Amino acid sequence: MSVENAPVVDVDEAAIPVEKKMYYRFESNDKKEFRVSELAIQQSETLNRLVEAMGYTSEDVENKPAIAIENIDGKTLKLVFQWCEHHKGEAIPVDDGSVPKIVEIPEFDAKLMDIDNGLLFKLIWAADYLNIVQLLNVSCKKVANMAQGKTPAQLRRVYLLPSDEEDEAAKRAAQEAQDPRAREVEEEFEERKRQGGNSFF
Amino acid sequence: MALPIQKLPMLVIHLILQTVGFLDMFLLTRTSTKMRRIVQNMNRTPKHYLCVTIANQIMIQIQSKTNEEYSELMIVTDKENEPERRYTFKMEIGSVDYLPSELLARALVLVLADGQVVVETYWNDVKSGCIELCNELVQVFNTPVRAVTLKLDEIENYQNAINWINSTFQGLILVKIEGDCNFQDYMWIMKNAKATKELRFEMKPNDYPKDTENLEVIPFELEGIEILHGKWINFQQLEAIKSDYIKIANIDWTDFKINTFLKNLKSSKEKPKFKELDIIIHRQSTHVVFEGLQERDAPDTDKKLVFKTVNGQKCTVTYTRFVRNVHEDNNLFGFEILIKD
Repeated sequence: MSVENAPVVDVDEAAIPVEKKMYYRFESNDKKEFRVSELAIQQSETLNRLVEAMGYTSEDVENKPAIAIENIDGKTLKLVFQWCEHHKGEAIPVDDGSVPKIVEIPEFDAKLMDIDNGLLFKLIWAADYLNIVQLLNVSCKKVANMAQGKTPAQLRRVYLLPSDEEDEAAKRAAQEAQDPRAREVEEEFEERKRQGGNSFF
Repeated sequence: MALPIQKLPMLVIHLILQTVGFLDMFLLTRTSTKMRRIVQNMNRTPKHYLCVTIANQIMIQIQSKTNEEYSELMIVTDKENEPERRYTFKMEIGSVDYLPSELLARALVLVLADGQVVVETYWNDVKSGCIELCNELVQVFNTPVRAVTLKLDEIENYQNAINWINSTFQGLILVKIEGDCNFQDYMWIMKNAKATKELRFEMKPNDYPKDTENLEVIPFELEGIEILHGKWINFQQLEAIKSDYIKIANIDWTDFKINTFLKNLKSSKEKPKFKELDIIIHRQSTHVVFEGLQERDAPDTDKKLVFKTVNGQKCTVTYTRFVRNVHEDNNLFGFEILIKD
């Protein structure tokens, strides 16, 4: 097991009250371990609830196994915790319903998200899964910015959007994979219709 | 490498769509039936307005309901004006499968250099193009066309245009007319422009009849009416407007005439039809206008007058500054007349 040098971002100790100086240990699905401050964890509603429910003491944190986050890999989790440490203590934004949604990407976030789209995709999944509202907002803003000034054909390429034909083919394939007999019945029914009947009975 | 947004959770897709511009959202609906369905589902609660401007082109503004400063623009242009540019693309709109369209920087279209993109579409027939495009936008954004602005200086036949607006956009909340015309045309427009809530007559007559006291009276009944060039307005015309809110500028009334109007208001047994009447007229002094209307107990000043009418309503008249447009720093002064039961 490899252990990341935690905390991911330097902690301003003076700014953190004594009772908050606890670092939780988390483990990604590829067995990478991270130590994250309690204050940073508050950015994630999911993790915050989890650690609250666990009620760990400082000793528990050190002695018990790291908390496993099974569907996020180490590379993505590192970005997530870097973001949380940088934004720890910040208020969690509330959706004001504005349209279009006004989101500014701070310089730190822009640098953090200067990654390939594959990793950005995983980061969005992770932000959604861990319910980190502002990380989800800025990462979605980055994806939204990709649409600017694009024609429908370009949008199809940028967002890998299937055409109607491709959607239809995927739907058929999914149906067949789920129940091959259903397709046969459908074909049989179509054949009977062509022959003039409209019922099996 | 691309980013497959449809593989993200639906709530995340919605979040992305709430963050993209309105035109980006519309263009996304042109990519596939599934994408169109996703956008339509997200827009079940309408958060946009559609406003149409009819000028030498037809412009359809997609306006945010939550931010009055934010809008994006689609343009309907005659195909004859289609440029031979590299970046023209085709899209499906209504019954047209391959509509030539182009992305333009907004700075090219308007003075506003806000970096936004405008989509220009090229049609064989501009009017039917406007209808097709509006129908598509109405379906995608789940909101009707709310307002139409007609620019008289940029169209050939204003009567056709107004008849077309009335028959095409039924239930319009606001109709605004701008530009110059002769007085006969002016009166025709006043009689024929229709809206369910508000009419803004900003057009300017090139001439006025000598005798404005005997003009045909045009009745109006709607929530609000604004007449920017009201030199022709007389007492009878004002009484024929049944609106909660009336605003008249460039009116040709003397201090004595305003005073008479207010005295009539005070002594009338019949309740006035308006709740607010703004008469935009610059005055050095309110002395003559307020003369004979002051009441002993009321805290009147030289800018404000409060009196009770015979029918028991409270009337507050304030000489004040009006802000016509937040972007304009022009000083418009006049009388604000408020009626309360």
